[in-house]
Amino acid sequence: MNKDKQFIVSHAPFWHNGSSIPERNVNIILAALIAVIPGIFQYGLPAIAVVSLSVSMAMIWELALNWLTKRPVSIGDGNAALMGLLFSMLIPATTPFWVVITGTFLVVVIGKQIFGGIGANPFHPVLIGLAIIRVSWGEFFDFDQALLNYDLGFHMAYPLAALKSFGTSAIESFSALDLLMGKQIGGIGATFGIGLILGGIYLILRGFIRWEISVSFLAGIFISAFIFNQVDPSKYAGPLFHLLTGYTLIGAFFLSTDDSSSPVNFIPMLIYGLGCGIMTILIRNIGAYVDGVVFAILLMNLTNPLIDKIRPKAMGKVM
Amino acid sequence: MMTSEKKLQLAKWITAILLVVGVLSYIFTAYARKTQEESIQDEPVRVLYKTLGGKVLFDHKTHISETKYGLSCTDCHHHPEDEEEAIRSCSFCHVSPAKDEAFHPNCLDCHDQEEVEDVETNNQVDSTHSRGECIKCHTEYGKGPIDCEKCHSK
Repeated sequence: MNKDKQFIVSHAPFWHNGSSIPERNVNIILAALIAVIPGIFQYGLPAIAVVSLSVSMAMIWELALNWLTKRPVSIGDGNAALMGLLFSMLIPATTPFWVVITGTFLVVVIGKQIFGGIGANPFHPVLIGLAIIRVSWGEFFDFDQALLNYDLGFHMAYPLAALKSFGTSAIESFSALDLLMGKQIGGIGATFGIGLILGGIYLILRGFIRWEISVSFLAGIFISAFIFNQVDPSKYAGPLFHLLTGYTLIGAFFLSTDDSSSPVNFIPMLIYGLGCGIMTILIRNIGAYVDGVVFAILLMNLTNPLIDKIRPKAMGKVM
Repeated sequence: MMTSEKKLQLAKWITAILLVVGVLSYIFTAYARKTQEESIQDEPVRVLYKTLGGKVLFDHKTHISETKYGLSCTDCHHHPEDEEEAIRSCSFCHVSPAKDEAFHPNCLDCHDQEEVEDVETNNQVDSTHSRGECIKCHTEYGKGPIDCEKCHSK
């Protein structure tokens, strides 16, 4: 066979469709800000401190790595800023500065740059950073402890921790509407549900994230939480509670949809999303951690290359 | 359409501005926390007790709020009596003395040894449980948790 003919494409001139990496990242940042701004209003100056330091340090680490590895300066594409912003959305407003500096180092350097930079990371960089910080200094992620002296006028117990410790009787005071409107404690940008949903829908409509992943993630949460709830309603919360608490919504729209660590084919995307949702509920209900989103997505990132092999077969036969 | 050179310049400016904003906000936050430390110590919103039986999140504000339980300080902080100025945390008095000590040094802060010789103080566990204020009040008013797993998180 003539192998030279395998890569023939149509001839020039080509037309660029106008999309670019900076445009994509700027749009995701804008969508995320819908959820970050209410968080800043809620927690005040400490939240501004965490978000600003996180974004700027992520860009500084990227700049430092560009310089160290003698590669082109890449902070102009906005990806480092996005990673910094997402990291700050997941942590409490009282996080000490050194945790933010160490965390953004882990996100940008360990999560992204050592794999070759943007598009080459096998795991979501933010989740790598967060998981290492979570395992190393877990006390900063105990939202009950971190936000001990805040009084925001609503029920100030971390919903998932209350559920895990005391069962469903402890979460009766959380109404679905309150949870949706961000009347719950948690990460700076992870609690304002309606903002995360609006941001996610915007990104789906503009084609920056794939609806298949987000929808199947939420379906995975819904189905598995529903089954657990049917088995023992006094111990396991209903699906709506799980959809609106913890990192579920930010995970479904902003974390699991990262392009290089998630599948691109239709069926693999559904399997990946469902897997993230089901693993999240398994960890929340019978695992050791209060919230399962971080480890669930990391585990499914791991399976991504394998499940993305499920693809349509080419017609015909090559001898 | 912005050129990539211009985007890079913009990114550098954003980095510098956010770094300054971040550092200044951290400094102001630390300063504000320092000035509020005393009032937080006096009237904490919530208190987290880390016990052998799991963490206990105690909502201090709900207990003293007029619209909720409206307790006065001395209802719980009962020693020294009727002296709101001299209020101490539960664990200041309700501690067990070390093995080689007859009294905890905290007692001897205010009292002479002879003064407290015949006084028995509940240890921290008893002071909140079987012989203490928490469960006594919860039982008396039929409000608040009594069972272990209702306060202690796993």
